[in-house]
Amino acid sequence: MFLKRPLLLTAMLALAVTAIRSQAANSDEAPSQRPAPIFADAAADGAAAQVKAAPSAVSPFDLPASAPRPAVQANTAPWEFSAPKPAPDTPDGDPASKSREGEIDLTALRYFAGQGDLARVAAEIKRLREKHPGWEPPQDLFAQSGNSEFEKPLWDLFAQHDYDGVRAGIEAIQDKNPGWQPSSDLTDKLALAEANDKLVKASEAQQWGDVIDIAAANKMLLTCADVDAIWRTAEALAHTDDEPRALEAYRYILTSCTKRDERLATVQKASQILKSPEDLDALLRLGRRLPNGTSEFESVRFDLIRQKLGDAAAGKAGPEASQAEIDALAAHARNANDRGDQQLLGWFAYSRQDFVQAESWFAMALRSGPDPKAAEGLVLTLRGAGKIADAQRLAVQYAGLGPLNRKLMIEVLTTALNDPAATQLSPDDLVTLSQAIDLAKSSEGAQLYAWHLYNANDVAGAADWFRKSADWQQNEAAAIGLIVTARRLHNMRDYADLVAKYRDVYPKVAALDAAMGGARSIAAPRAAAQAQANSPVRLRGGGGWDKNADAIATTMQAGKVDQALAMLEERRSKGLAEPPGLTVVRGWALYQNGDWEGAKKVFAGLQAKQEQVEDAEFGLATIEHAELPAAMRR
Amino acid sequence: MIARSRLAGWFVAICLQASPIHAGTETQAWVTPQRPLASDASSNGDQGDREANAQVARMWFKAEWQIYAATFVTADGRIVDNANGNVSHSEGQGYGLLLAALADDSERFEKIWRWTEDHMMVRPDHLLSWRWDPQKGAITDPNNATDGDILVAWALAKGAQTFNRPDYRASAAVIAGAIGATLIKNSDRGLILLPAAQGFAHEDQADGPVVNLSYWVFPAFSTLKDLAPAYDWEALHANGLKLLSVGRFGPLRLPPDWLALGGQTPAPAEKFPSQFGYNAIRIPLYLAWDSAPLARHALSGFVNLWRGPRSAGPYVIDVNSGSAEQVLDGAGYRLVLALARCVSLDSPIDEQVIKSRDPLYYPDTLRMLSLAAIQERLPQCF
Repeated sequence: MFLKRPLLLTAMLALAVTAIRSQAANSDEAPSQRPAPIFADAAADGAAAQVKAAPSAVSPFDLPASAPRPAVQANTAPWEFSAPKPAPDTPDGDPASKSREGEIDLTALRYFAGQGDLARVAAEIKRLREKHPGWEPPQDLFAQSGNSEFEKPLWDLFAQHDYDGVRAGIEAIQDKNPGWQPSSDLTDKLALAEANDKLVKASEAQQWGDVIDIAAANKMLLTCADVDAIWRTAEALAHTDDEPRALEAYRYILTSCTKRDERLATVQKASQILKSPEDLDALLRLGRRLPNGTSEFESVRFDLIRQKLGDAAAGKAGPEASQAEIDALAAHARNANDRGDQQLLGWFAYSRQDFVQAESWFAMALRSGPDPKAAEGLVLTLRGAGKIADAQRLAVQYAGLGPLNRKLMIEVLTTALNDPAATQLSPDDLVTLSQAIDLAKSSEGAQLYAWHLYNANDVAGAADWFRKSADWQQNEAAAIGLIVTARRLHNMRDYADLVAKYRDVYPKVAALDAAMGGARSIAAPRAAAQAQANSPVRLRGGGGWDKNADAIATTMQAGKVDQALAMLEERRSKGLAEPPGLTVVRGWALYQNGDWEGAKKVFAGLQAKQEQVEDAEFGLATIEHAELPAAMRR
Repeated sequence: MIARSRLAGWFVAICLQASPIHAGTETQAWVTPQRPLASDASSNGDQGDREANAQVARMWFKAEWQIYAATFVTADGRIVDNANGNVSHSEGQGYGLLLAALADDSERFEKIWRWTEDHMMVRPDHLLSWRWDPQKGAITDPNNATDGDILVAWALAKGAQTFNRPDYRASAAVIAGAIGATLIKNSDRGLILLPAAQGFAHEDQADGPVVNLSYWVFPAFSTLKDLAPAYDWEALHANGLKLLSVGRFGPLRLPPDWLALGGQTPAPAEKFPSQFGYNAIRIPLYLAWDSAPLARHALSGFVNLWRGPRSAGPYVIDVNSGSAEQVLDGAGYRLVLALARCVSLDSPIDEQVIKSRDPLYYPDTLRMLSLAAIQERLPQCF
């Protein structure tokens, strides 16, 4: 007795281990071997087929009471089938199992036999015979492997998915050995594999009716061992407007199958296939509780919300996220400090023009460190909210994060450049801007910067930047800029060339050229054009040179706009006549001083009097162009 | 070049071995040279690998023979079964001759044959009396044991060739002829090999004739055919394999040591334990050694009796119930089954299994025979 007790204990322990191992060896628990109850008679049929297909499989009711019973536990989980129930798992439900009760547990024996480990089989038989004197082991332990000599090559072909080869092999063996029959294990598995092939083909060809027919005729396909077949069947059902059964298929996987990745993929697939949000919710609720307290499918649920928010932010039509969903994701974004979600919520708010929320999310995302997209979002949000100075400051700060940020900085700063109402950019900002434009080879930025220089009377500088802009990418604004600067610099040859080059490309160029009287009259003799270029504002007054007028023009040319204006006012106050050429100077001085309205009046007056018409029209055209919003100047 | 220097390393390691070692602990402590594997020197090509393996296997076998001979072969050429009162039997003498011939040990071969001829060739039918007892200094059972006769005839033929001794061959032919004349019989189940001249025929046993399939020393049959062409050794060989396929029983489908052919269907012989045991364990050895494709095919029934150093068994097994009896405890039994796996499944033999030695005559002899088979025709298993 003393000796026997530990022995018995050891044996039971060994058995328990065996039971666990045999469970593991079966890859999935018992219910997984039953087909999904998608088709009406699946339950009974499947249970029968199971016995046939897997005689050596470990049935859970053969386990000793003390052994772990994962299979049974899984079956009594709260999310019990609501659909037709497969054969009950409890011994009393099965008449055959009545006689098994009290009999000998062959789990380990069958397991070792299934492994083909003769030594362990023999040891287990010995143990059982000692425990149960007179007991004789079943003679069919290796019933399936009896064929192994013939079947080995067939199984090899089977493993290579060469099912035609297996069929041919069976025939070849039968030719030589009349009366030989392949094992039912082989024929069952072969039939199933062939059916699976057909199902996959039909599914790939989107022949949904065929998929359903094949699945209904081969219900053993629809087990946890092959969730892909269930997915395909569910998809076919959904496509044929049988969503309830598609739902049942997904539900089967989630209640019966254990592989984490397959379960997750099931909800993901269902989310794409099921139309009803309630159905999907029902599936999501089948998620198991993870050790960290979250639900198994929380990530999927969040993915679905993310999808909705992302679509909404991108302006795509689709189901809208409920406030509860948004709140859930917001809580997650905050608690898990999930930058991706923080940004997503930022963009979603931005798309709703909820700049307060957007600013808060983007700022939160940026607290974890610089991020190009979050920075872009924040700058756009600030600009959208009218916080231009903040937008400019941050645009410059984040310009280095990436090409898009640099582009955005250029956009934000250049908008401010030509907006008289905006805060003046600091010299540092201007340097940063011009460097960024060069770095980004921003054609748009270059032409906007050029107009800024042009308006600041740095015509030569403007010409350089218009040139860059046109070189980087041909555009109307740069073309006009080049033409206007050439005209201002009296590079008439260039002017004529540019007009010729662009007049057919941009209608505005032709209009501009017409407005400025064309290049012909002024471009003619090269020497004259060059002389004019050397002295761009040459004014005639009365019979001789008006020295005062000349002085004003020189002052103006030196960029001393205020002084030139003062001189003009002084001259006017002295009652001196203002020759039309000097009026042109006045117009430009006012323009460059920011008094576009005043400049316009001056040029319009000249035009009305048909004096200095060219200059007047050019002035008017320039002002008109300058008054266009940046986006319309192209 | 690499292979060669490795060979040298092996040789040194083997030669450095002092006196015979039996204790398992000592085998553990043994200096373990790197075993060259086929895949090791792939640049030399498969043929080169095989050659190198074969060379090493031959040297290893010869070195082991020295240790084996020093342990079990007396100075006058008697092989001692130290588990059975130090008796000698024709089977042991046959194994000794065979191993000596394969190890190219002409001196010992001569001594063993001298002793055998002097002490065992006492029957008028030219078969060997099978049992000699040192206590009596005499034969204690004049009956023969057919496997002993076959082994001696086969070994003598090999010795004749190796040592260029036509006299050995003449003796071999005499014994082979005697086997054919006395022991090969027709039966309802085809040509059979009686286990002995007396006691196993139809008239001697209720379920007779009774045969022992481990007495079919399959790799010897082509030699026996040369020695005694008057008898149909090929048919006997083929029928042995056939009996092996029908004479398997119980849930594990194993052949018994002793098979009765007198009934409606073959059955484990009544007068013997219905076991797969110390006799039948040699069946996979002979099948592996044999070059006939059908023999290799028949091996598949034995490959799962023991599946490597971390597995249970092997066991003596009651063939009817499939129940394990005592453990077949010896390195030689394990090596035989590992060899079966190697030949049948191409699964390599664990180095420790090859190197473990046995203190007892029978398992250590099986080990030596396995090594002999490996060095002779299965170097890929080494």
